Amino acid sequence: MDSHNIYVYLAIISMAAATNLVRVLPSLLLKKPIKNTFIKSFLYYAPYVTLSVMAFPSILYSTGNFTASLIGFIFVAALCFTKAGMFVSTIGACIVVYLAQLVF
Amino acid sequence: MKYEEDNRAFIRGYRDALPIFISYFAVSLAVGINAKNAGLSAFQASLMSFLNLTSTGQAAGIEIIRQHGTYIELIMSQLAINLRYLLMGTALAVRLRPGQSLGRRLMVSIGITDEIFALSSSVAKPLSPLYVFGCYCMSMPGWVLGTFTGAQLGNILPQTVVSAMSIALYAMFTYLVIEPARKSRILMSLVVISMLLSLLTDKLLPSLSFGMKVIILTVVISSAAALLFPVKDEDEKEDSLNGQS
Repeated sequence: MDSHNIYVYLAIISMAAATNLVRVLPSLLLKKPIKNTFIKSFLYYAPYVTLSVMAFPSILYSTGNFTASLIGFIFVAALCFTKAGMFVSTIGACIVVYLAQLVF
Repeated sequence: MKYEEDNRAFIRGYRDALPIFISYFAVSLAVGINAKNAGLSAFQASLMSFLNLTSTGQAAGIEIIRQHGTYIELIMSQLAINLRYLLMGTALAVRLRPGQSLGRRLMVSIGITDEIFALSSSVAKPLSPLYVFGCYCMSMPGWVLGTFTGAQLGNILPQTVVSAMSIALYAMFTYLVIEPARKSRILMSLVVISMLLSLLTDKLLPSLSFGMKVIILTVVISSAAALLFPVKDEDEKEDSLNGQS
């Protein structure tokens, strides 16, 4: 096996170990709910921050066409304020980007 | 008697999770395409999906692998990004009937994702571990099959279609934060500030890796928010990302 493949497999195993550790910990340790307000608040806000940081500005470079990506981003952000739902918004963004690529 | 009850809970979970199978298949097409772009084979991408089952975690992991990041960075990013599973596992653990064996509690742990959590918290208490396991058994194959298909189709589909689909995952993240945040001024400010600081970090520290950026900004911004706006009400959690599918 070449070094690239060894790296990829070890990377996959490292990720899986960390992700599943977080999944399993409450089952192993938890006897009663978390009481500490700071920890509770931190755990409440963290997903929003993480997803926001991951989404932006990466989304603008995701398709290789900046203008099309920007239009896709604005499209999704706008649909969040409607009843479209996640599935329609996400697939819709792909279609919008596809069409925008033909123009820009 | 016990066996009958477990059996019924498993089948119910398995059936209820059909929509998750479909949406996982669709979303993981993009994961497969991204993985392929980052230099992973279809088998490696599928193995990653089977062992990790996490869209956000895998998106970050794939990006780090593409940049040849370190194992420590990969581990830290997964811990930071998937910290929310700790909260979900905690929330589900208190819904179980007390005194479950370790094996049965682990059946709950293995299936924790945003979507399975949302489904499992919507059924009446006490929650059966077999219900969560049923959801997992339906959902996971959708995720792995979609990844494999995406990594394979990446070669067959025209480049314009592949690049259009590459936005799917990021569009989903955007939806997952903005949709629930529009009801709360604090959350909306948090989302906007996080996005702006992410952009600013890219401009000021272009050499900082993606994984480290996610970890540092998550810890700093979430701590600040937790200090400034402590969450008092247990119910506020219900409004969070967890309610999304």
